[in-house]
Amino acid sequence: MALKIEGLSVQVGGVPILKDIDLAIAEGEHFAVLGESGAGKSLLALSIIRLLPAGSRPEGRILLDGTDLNALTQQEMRKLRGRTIGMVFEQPWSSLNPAFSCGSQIAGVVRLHHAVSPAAARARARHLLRLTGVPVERYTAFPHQLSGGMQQRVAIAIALAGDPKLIIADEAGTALDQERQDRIAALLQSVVSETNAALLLITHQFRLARALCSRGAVMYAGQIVETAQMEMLLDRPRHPYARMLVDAVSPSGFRPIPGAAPEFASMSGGCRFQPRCPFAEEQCAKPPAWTGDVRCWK
Amino acid sequence: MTTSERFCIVAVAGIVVLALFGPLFAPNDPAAVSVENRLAPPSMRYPLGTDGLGRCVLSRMLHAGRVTIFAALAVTATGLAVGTSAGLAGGYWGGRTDAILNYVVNVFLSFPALLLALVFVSVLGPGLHHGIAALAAASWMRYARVVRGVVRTTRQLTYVQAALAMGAGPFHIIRFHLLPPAAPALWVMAVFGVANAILALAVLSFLGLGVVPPTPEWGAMIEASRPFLRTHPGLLLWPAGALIGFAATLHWAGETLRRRERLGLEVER
Repeated sequence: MALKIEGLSVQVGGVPILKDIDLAIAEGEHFAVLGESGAGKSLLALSIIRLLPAGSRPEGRILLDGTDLNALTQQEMRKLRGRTIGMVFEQPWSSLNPAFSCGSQIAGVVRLHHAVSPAAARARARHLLRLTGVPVERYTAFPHQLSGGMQQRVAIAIALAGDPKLIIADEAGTALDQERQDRIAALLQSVVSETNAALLLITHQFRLARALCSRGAVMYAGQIVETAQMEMLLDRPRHPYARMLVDAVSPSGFRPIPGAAPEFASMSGGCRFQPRCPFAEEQCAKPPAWTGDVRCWK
Repeated sequence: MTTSERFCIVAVAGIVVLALFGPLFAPNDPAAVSVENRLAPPSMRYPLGTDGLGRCVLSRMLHAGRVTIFAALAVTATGLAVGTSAGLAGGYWGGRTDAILNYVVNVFLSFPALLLALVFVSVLGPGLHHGIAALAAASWMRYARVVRGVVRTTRQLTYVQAALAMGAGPFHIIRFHLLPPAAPALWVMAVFGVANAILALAVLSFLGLGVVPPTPEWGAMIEASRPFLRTHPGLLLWPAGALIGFAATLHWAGETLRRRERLGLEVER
């Protein structure tokens, strides 16, 4: 299942947030989207599954094997959600309904996608629990009775219930401590390669991106500023922001980027990083062209 | 479970048994008129005496209980179904649907419920079915309000968004994520609703707009007792007592349920 995003722009309440996003994920590829909080990473994920907040206006094309998702009706889109595109959310405890047992929630989603008997759905739910490393006895446990790591595993099991070909993991596991994060990452890796699905990992953890993904993109203020192979992106970034972002959390110490991310409502027409960029020149007042890998004048 | 809750269950069970099996214990035909026995005092044949037409008061009481309970349940079920559907639709889809439904709810709420019911019955004409329809039309708004509120807050939660992201349609979302959190408040309101419907039906029948004679009904019996109030007060006291007993027991049950569900004052009676 290949995903290709062409010139995606999203306005929320009249304010342009995402601007000219171009992105391609090949079949079975693992792709990371990196960037600080508020860069629009989650909005990008929501625009792919078309669950944008009310008052949003997306433009551009999101091609999933040639079908433009932006041109589908909500009914057609609903058939793709969960079945073709699975999604794992950041906070597992709030993405599970507190009133139902974990197993029954997985079984419910199974029945949403496959016309099977309740018993068969329960069997499939137990299989998914095993697959994600949750003890099968915890089938009847309610979300609050599970640890954060277990909840995240259940959320992944739910995302897998419809056999998706593309899994979007929005900060999956980021809310956990580092060791559990790594285990969730390993789990994601194994289930994704087992099901041969493509992975779109949205994260601000370079460690996870490097461990899981072969290619990645860095986002800043609603735009992709650089796309490259993972080693290249993290070891030899070319865009000034990508460079400073990687440097900011390098092992040699914490070096914050001076200034703050711009307000979306009062953004100038030029390069969005220009006000904070140490290499800014006159031409940066005009929007730099997107060459397919770096969005910078140099 | 506390002692009070046990008593409450016994009392409600008593009402249910009376409603289901009461008529089986009736010693006489509730509609059998016998002029020679009119206004008879209690006797072996007529345990509670007879009314102005010589009909057995106990038999009429027992039959009336069944009529009343089933009519009140029908009122509540209809109101609950209509109100819940309206609340779900408005809360789920929002926008124009919500605005229109909200407007209708406000219009209905702006009249006293009984007045509204009277208007409906005067349009439809008297009769038990019309009375049920009228009272349901005057009671659905409260359920709609409560459901809409719960749905609007619940819909924003991440797990509902997550379910949407998993391809859940409106039916799945409503069934699994939106109705369960609204259910406790709805049950409590429904119990109060049955109690209020019993009283409202009696009022309609008292005014001659509810059941059509000779169907026995407590409100109609109270009305029929008026000419004999000074000489035969029992004709008033028996149906009035039954009415108060049923309504009070159900209010008690509703209050108990509310306390058990730990619901605050937001549940209206």
